[in-house]
Amino acid sequence: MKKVLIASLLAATVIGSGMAHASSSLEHPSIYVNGQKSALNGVVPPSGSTMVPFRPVFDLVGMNVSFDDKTKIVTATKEGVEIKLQAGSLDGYVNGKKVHLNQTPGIENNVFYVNLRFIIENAGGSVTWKKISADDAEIRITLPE
Amino acid sequence: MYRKLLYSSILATSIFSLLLAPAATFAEPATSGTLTAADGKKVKVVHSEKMKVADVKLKDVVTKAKDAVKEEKAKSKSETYDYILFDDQQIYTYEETPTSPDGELVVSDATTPAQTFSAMATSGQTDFIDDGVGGKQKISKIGSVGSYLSTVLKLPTGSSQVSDVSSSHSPYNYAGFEYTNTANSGIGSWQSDMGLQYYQNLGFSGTASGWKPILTLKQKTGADTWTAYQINFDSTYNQAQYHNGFKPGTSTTIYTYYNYNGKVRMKLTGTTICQDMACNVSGDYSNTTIMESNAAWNITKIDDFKLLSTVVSSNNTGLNKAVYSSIKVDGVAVPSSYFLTPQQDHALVTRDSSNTVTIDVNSSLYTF
Repeated sequence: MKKVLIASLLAATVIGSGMAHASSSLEHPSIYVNGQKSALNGVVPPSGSTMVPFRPVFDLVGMNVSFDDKTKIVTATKEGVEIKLQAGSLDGYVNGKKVHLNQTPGIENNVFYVNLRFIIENAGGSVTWKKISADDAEIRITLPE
Repeated sequence: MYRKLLYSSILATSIFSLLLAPAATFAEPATSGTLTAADGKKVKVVHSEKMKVADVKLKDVVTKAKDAVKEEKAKSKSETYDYILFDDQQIYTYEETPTSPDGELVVSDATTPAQTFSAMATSGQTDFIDDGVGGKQKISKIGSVGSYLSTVLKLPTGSSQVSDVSSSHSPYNYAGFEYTNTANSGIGSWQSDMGLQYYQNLGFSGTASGWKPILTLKQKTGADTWTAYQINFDSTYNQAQYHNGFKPGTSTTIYTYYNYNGKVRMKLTGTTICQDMACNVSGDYSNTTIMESNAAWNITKIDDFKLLSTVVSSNNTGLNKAVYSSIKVDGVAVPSSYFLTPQQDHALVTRDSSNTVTIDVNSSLYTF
């Protein structure tokens, strides 16, 4: 069952994941989930915060997600955890508690990008970033069993 | 023709956070530090220049920048103020934002550009742009041209209005001034282009579209020699720092001065797609950007101001549009008699009863 879930989640990252990048780089690192390469497309702006399209990453951690187009707020919930992020705001919320972000979520080229580490860690996972060459890096996400 | 082209290389990076990747990996190595300004504020300084500029010089630049921003804050209410000073060695980009009110300074080397910004008028009324297409409206106030021109520029948006940026197409909308010395083989003539260049690799994701400031100042220094000073943020060099731009579809007010306390200056006010140059905060923000020569050139007279919309292209094609309204010289609306016959190269230049000038560049539609 878990394999099916992971497979479907990884597949989901392909859908609506924004632009695809043929090869990874420091700005567009490869992302691995529990050891398997993910189709999740991340972008690293100068702030250093990796940003990813919102729906695939919330799908990845199994959170139910809703988006209010008027307020540009995305709300994700799962087992007592609620995450709120708003386009253009440096304030994120976890169960109502405000958390300062270093990069605002935002909509660019019709894709709503959110903060990868903020979401993964508040969903119980962990993230490591590793530089693998002078101009390439990878991100490894570990989700709980 | 020899040109000494000076050009920005904003290679520095902001090291505001290290959540996943060290920001310094985003570009060539840069170092940062702080500098105490004359007002006692701690200004973050990002060095990407090869030979570190002395602190005494940086303090002078920060003082100039803070004075300019203070002056502008008294006139307008922008959220972000950018002040860009250039000389023949360095480009200094100073910024104050609501989240960085004490200011940040990025120092970078002026280098020779990979591509030149010209789209310059040659002669004649058609095909007057030698490396692309476009339209041009000159404004000449006989007797006394004035010290500055201001206009509201409505920026085009989307592929139906403006060519996608590519290796063969680069759209520009800009104002400027010209002076031709009729004696001495034209030595002492001036040309300046001040305005905006279209980019499609902006925003925090590098996928957003926007218009970034550009300023070119050229002086004829020999019978066949133009010496040029140029600031822009070409994609080759700016990836680490300058992700911001004026928002397509919005209006930007342009002020062009040929002698502002002796210096050449451009001021832009409008709406940008980010709050800060690194785009840590995305969204619509009011912005005032000033570009100024460090040297006081003391240009005493010009022949005319100009308004253009062009596309630098390798195959004489392109799409662009600029609507210039509220055209004023020295703060006074320009009467009809000041407008000279427009030049058109695959473009149509029209002017309505309010003296709003529309330059419609479309090589598919206009074959002249």
